[in-house]
Amino acid sequence: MEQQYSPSGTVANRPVLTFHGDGGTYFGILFLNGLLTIITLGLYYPWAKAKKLQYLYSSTEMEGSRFAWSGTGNEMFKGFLKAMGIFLALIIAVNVLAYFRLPALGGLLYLAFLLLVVPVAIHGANRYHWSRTSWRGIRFGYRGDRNEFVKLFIKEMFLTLVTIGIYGSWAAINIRNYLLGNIRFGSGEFRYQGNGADYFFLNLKGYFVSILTLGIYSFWWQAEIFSYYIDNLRLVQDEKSFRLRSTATGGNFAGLLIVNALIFIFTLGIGYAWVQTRTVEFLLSHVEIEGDVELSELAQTEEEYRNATGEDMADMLDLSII
Amino acid sequence: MYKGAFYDHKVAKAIPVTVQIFTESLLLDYTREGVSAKKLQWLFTEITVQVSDRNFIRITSAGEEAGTLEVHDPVFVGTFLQTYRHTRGASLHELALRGGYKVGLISLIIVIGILLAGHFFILPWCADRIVDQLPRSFDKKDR
Repeated sequence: MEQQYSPSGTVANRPVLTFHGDGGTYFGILFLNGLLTIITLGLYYPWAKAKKLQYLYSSTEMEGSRFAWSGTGNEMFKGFLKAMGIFLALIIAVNVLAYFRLPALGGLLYLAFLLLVVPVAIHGANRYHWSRTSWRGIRFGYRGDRNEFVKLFIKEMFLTLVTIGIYGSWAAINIRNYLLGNIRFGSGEFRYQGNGADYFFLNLKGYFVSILTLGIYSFWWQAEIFSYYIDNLRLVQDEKSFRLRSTATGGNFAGLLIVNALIFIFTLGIGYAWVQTRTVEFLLSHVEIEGDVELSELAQTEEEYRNATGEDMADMLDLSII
Repeated sequence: MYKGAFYDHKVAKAIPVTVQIFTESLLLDYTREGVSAKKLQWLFTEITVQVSDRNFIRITSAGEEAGTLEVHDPVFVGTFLQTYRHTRGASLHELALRGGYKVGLISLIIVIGILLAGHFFILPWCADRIVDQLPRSFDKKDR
């Protein structure tokens, strides 16, 4: 870890994030995953996902140590069965209502279910995913309260609906503030201090300027969103903190996305593994961390959580949360 | 003897260790500040292994003295996996991690080969067999 003295005289640490994964190995993993998932008619999917995440996390290094993802296919398969049970119960209930000529009630039940199941899935996925992530044996964790989050989510979605989507930026940031603010890295706590208005105007500007420049500005828009996500994030431990900063520019994003598109098109999709590893490497190498937190002092505080139902429900609803 | 870092799952501080590989176990030897030298023996049956490439390996023990050993040494990775695999066997994914793109490419070629063989040889052969079984009157009925 690089160390410098800040103007106040305290030591400023600068841990660097490095990605060691390579497209070729990742291609091998994805290919085997795909093959085994097809052969087993989809049943292998939880194991495939575990292998993929294990590779991506254990290829990411910070201060000489790599991250670990210790979730297993067995855990996710059990979660998958539970999630399937919940969805099956809903389908049966909707069909029973339709049989008794109450399709409107069935529709309402379906909508209510979706409104309730999405925040529950997000909450569960965060609990499981972060609990299975560690660095030097120190677990991450998510300490959000399910009921509190469901209330927040329903309120934010209601306001977004009432304002015909305009409130969406505030909703996204409020949800982000809650989720990231409840993530722990051992005894370290993450803080996210986003502001809905800033995010709204950032996207408004990005949208109109992208149209005016025939899409060229979209790379700079992307860079601004990434920067907004990273720059407002802090890791706090006792009185010490780490600030994160994005160094990616619109030009960097243009280079990444254009080359990714070319790789994907000219390899007829086979190059997807290289596209993903290039993207992860790019994102990690453009995050600067600086502060006075001593990473070696982070202590174990988070418990293990092995229930993957939320993670599987989020997968079924196609919610890319993490 | 190989060098590695041991983490005790209590704090993120790295404790330098020397590691020895035996046929059915690992022996970790470490000294902490102010504490006398300590030895840990991890049986292969009590550990979980995560390999991400040829240069890095993470071994976790959930036993009485739980901890994680991380070694950045291709020689250790190779030697350990040879001994460990002897007792546990190697999975397809492990081959992919160690063989890099070659494993994926070989699998891809095999799959394409099977598909091509199916299309040009197996399916036509099956079709011929079925045609042989059909009564000739089938063709006449269509006319």
